[in-house]
This record gives sequence, C-alpha cells and structure tokens, in this order.
Amino acid sequence: MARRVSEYLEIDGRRMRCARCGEDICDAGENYKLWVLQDRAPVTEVPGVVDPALYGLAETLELRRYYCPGCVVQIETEVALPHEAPLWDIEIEVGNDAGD
Amino acid sequence: MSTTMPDAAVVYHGVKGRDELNIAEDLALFELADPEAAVRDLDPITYEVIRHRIQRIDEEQANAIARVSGSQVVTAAQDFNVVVADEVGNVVAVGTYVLWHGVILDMLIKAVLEMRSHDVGIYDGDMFLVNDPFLGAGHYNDVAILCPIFDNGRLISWTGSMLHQLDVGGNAFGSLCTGATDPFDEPRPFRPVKIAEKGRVRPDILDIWLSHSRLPEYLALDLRAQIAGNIVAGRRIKEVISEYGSETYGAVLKKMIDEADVRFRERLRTIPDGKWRHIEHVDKAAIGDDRIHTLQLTLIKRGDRLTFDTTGTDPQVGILNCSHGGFRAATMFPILQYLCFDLPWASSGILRNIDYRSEPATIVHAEPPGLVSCAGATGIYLSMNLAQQCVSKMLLSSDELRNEAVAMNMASWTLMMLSGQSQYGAPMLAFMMDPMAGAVGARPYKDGVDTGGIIHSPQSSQPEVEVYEQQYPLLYLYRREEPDMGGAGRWRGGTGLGMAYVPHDAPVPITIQTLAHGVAFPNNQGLAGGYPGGTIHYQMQRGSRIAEVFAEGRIPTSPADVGGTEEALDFKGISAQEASDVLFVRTSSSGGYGDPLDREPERVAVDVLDGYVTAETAGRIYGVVLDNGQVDLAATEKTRAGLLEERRRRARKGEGSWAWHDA
Repeated sequence: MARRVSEYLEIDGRRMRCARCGEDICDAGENYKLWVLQDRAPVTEVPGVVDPALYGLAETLELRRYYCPGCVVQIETEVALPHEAPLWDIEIEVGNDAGD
Repeated sequence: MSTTMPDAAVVYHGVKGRDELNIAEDLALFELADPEAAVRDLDPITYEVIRHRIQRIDEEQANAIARVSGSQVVTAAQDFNVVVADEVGNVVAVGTYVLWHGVILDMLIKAVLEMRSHDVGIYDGDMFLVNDPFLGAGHYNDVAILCPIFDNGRLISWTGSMLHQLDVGGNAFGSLCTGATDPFDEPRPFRPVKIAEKGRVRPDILDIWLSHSRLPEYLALDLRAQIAGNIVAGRRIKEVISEYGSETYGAVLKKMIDEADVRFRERLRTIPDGKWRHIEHVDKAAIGDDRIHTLQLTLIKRGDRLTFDTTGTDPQVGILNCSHGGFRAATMFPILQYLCFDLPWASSGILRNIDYRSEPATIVHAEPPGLVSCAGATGIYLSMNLAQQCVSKMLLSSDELRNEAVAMNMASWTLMMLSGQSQYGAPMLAFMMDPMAGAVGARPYKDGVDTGGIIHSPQSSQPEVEVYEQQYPLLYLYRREEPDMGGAGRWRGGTGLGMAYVPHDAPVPITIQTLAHGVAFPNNQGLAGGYPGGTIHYQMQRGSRIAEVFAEGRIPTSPADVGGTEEALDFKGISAQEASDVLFVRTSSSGGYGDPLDREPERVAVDVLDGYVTAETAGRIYGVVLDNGQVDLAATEKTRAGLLEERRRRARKGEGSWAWHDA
C-alpha cells in the first residue's frame, strides 16, 4: 500500500510517484525534485511581490516550481538563490511502517 | 548535556537533567520520597483537578500582569508569557501567550540555580531578574522575573514570566539596535540578580535596573506587573500545596512532565522516520548590507526522537542572530501548536525527546560578540519559520496528523518603532503592534486565516487604532486586508495587514526605525505546491498633499490619493517622518497550500468579490475567468488547460539533476 508523504507525492515500495496520477518519479531514496518537471521564474511572478530591484541587493532569488511529469500538477514551489541546488525537502526512510 | 561533534557542531539535549545541575548543597530541594510510587498511587481525579488548577494559575498570573502593566505591548498585544515549573525549573505548564517566552524560562531558572545558589543564595521571598540572551533569554527586552516557591524550607516549585519591556538601553530607543555594530551598542545584559529579597524589592538593584532605560516609568511598572504576577501565582501554588500536601503537588508535577513525555513519544511513532529540510533566505543583515544570508534546518525524526540540525546555516552576522536558547525555544512553537495541540504543554517533558545540533557562532547559535538585541524580530523569527516549515512537511507524511500541517504563517515581524515627542510634550516611544493582526497559513483542508493573529502567540491581539491615536501623535488613514497577499493555492493563505498613518499634532520629525525580512523576496513559503504570500513593503509618500486632501473632506486610501514623492523605506534602517509624509505599510502574509489550479473556481470568484484576490491573479495563477463576478466555466476550463500546457512548455525534465544548472 502506498504511503502519502505530501499532497501530491506518495511512496509505493521503494518508488516515489505522483499521488494524483500515479506517474513514477524516482527511487524513494533520491530527491524527487531532480526527476520532475522543473521551472524557474522571477519572484515577481508570485502575486503581491514587490520588484526586488527596488532594494538594490547584490543578488536576487528565483521562484522554482516543480511539476509532475505525468499530470503537470504543481508538486512544490521553492524560492532559492540561482546557484543553489533544489532542496531535498522530503527524505523518507523507506521501510518504516509507522502510522500505517 | 552537550556533545561536541568533529565538525565543530554541538549536540544538546532538549533539557538539562537535575543530576547535571551544579546547585549548592545547602539549598534544600524538594524530593518525592518514592517518585515512582507517588505517581503510580496518585488519584487520577486529584491529578486532573490539580493539573487544571496549575493551568489556571498560569492564566491568573497572566491576567495580573496585563492589569498592572501600563504598556500597550503587554496590555493589548500581550507580548509575554508565564510558566509554572518544578523545583529545578522543568516547565510543567506554559501559558498560551508568546510560546517561546514561556518555553525558554527553564534555561533561565536553571541558570539562576547554578549561578546564585552558590553566592547570594536562593530563599523564600526572593525573585530574580535576568535578561541575558546568552543564558537563554530571547533578546535584551525580554526580561524574566523568576520566583522560587518554598514549602517547609524546601524549594518545591518556580513560577515566573518573560515580558517584552519597552526600553532597556542600547543605542536605539526601544533597544532593538538595528544600527549596532558592537555589543556595547546594545543593552547591557543582566545576568541573574536578586531583584526582590525577603518579599521586598531591593532598591539598590531597582535603581541600577531603571537607570538603563529611557522610559524608567514603564520599566518600573512592567517590573511590578511581573512581580505581581509571581505573587499571585506563588500564593495559588501554596494554596494547592496547603490543600493537598507537598507530596501530592510534587507527584502531579512529575506526572505532568512524564505524561507529556510519553504521549509525545507515542505521537512521534505515528510518523515515518525521515528528514525534512527548509532553507530560509534573509534580505540584508544590517543597515547598509546588500547581501542575502542563509539559514538551513534539517528536522530528523527517528523512532520517538527528533533532532533539529542547523548545519548549513551561515556564521553569525549583523543583527540577524539569536542565541542557542532562543533557537531552541523557537522550535517549540510548531511542536506545541501542531504536534502537541491536545497534550499537556509541560514543555520540559516534550523536550526530553528532542536534540539540537548546531555550530556555535552561527546565526541561530550566536556567541559573544554576536549582536542579539534584535533577535526577537530576526534570529528567533527565522528559527520559527525554519521549524514550522520542517514540522509541517513532516506532518504531511503522517496519515493521522496530515491535517495539522500549516503553510508558513506571517513570516516576519514588520517592525515600526517610532520615537520623538508625543502630543503631550513627553518623550514618546511607539512600538507599533499593528502586525499582531498576523496571518495564518493555509492547511490541507482549508484556507488560512486572514489577519488571523500570531499563531505562536495565541492570546495576543492588535491594539485599537483609537488607543494609538490617543497615546501617540498619529492619525491613521486605514487598517485593512490587502489583495493578492495571501499565498495562492488549492487553499489560499491568510492575508496580512495593510495600514497607513500620518504624524498628527506633535513636533516632527518622528524617527522611525524599520526592521523586517521577506521584503526583497517572499519568505512566507507555501506548502505542497502552494505559492508564498506577498512581500512586506514600507512606502513613504514624502511631501504629500495630505493636509489639502483632508481640507477637501476626502479620506485617502492609496499613495496616489495623497501624491508626493514615493520612497521605499530601507527595511533595516532608521528614517525620519515629517508632517506631510504619509507611511503606507504592508505586513507579512502567509503561504498557500496545494496547486492553485486545483482551487474550486467558485472560491476564487468569492475571493475576487471580497477583495482578497485581483482578477489578474485569478486568471494568471488560478486560471479562473470571471464574467460580471460569476465564473465562466467554459473559459476557465480552457484557461486552465492552457496554463497546464504552458507549464509543460516552460519546464525542463530533470533526469536526476538540476536541469537548469546543467544547461
């Protein structure tokens, strides 16, 4: 039986997959963000965000959106420095049956 | 107990046990004759009666404080908390005010025991004052007054409070020293001093304490409020002991801690083992800085134990820092609120199962000469953000607890500290508590709460406009909820507050000190595909036509209505406001939950009608098309299909890597 680990992610056996469409994503021991559809955009695409240029910082962050390769549902968003790798935010130890 | 790791990180256990404390032998501590038997034989009804009485003692203490203090920070915003603790400071009941203010007090009581039992001694009728962040306090304004309670010559319990006092010195009026570059620019820390002895306030210590403040009358009143609170709580605790006996009282305290410990571990076992991470970026570390700084947290859950690991966090820098004690207390906000909502808030029992791994001299583990006077609005706030995002992601993996997850709440205090002369000719310091309106993040089954308060301080409230206008030389143009500020998602994040005011009937300029993060980019993150909320904004309209607009009988509602020159205020800075300068402020909002394209179109239509979402965002983010306020279903379906196609077109498929980096 698959375990939901986020709104749109579940683990079945050792595989991470989309909880909506069942699309296989990656081994559960890997960062799912590296295996899905990756999108990057200026943070001003977020509603209600003022243009960072107003504040004259030496760097600026970007908005990242991660979509299921199957149904394109937006699995996660992230605001990160351009040089930063996608953060491995959910790392479940496969084999633990707590809560089942 | 702590262990130094090879990479210079240190692992601390959540609580320091009685055996680890260096307490003078001549201080007689209460001990249960047979602890196991005392708890085992405790009548369950008696236990519940006393347990609830202790919680009510917390509440009565808080009420006493709020009634005595003359500061709006306390009476309205309730920026304080109270606890009851056992004989060595293990907290058995945290009040429902600023949570980290309560959790933190165990470290300070233990510091009093270790530092003062050997020299000045700890006796019945004493009270101790301490505000040293490096001993466990948050920042210098957060002053703890701690009261030992004796029974037949033995120290059996403690009560106390921590309260944000308005000004305790330093180079900035209000003591959040955004311009500090040296520890001696900040207030001087008070390591534990005996402020009351044999039931009387010590005048010599009081003189020293008050001499540090620009507002000694407020400081004196707040001190008396805390002393009054301790007297009330101490009296009630002694009544319980008198009624039930010390053995029963001691057994109840032990059982409260044990019960929290056991039930917390049971709860953790419903969650799969794993790691959850969050990175918090901060825009600027000080006035004049133009860099972005990084904090990282990994929450590790294994079996029935949690570890908060801050590896990856930048070295301490500017005014962003908090001490380890502040960080530890900050992490307990989502633990108490999201994981322990139905458990006794005996925080010391819960902390038995938590470890902290951090490297000294980093932003969340500052050491001297690190600057910490702003910690309550910087390091501690950032720590709460890290912890709540990791805890929420962890909860999403639990079938039992999934619905307790919350996208990031209001993620920054929007500091406005005004100083100058009041309309009454007296020195004026206005610590504007308008942001207490707060914003609560979206959840897996419902929208967040618009201006829903400060979730880490459940009882706090926003002072009324009329009170501020009476106390300070200000005239408000409005307070309101702003559109497009709550993070978009299947469930929308709660929106924060918008406000505007102009100086009124007072000498100008007014000095305004600002301090916030989440201004140059959003840090109020969404969850599970939800968007972050909007950013904080301080906008000053210099040399506006406000007087003329009023003379014309109009009430302005936007910068355009008053004209003048637009200036985005430095969000870590100090500025001046003249009579015709109007300040417009947007405070922090909260994150959304889930994919916005999953949101029911009717909900979007209602949001547009209510002014929470603009029609532009309805179309661009939610893919909802409205026709005269009604959902155009066919057009919405077509728009959403187009947005999905746009996602496919824009995105790149990762093949085990960060596709953009490789490109």
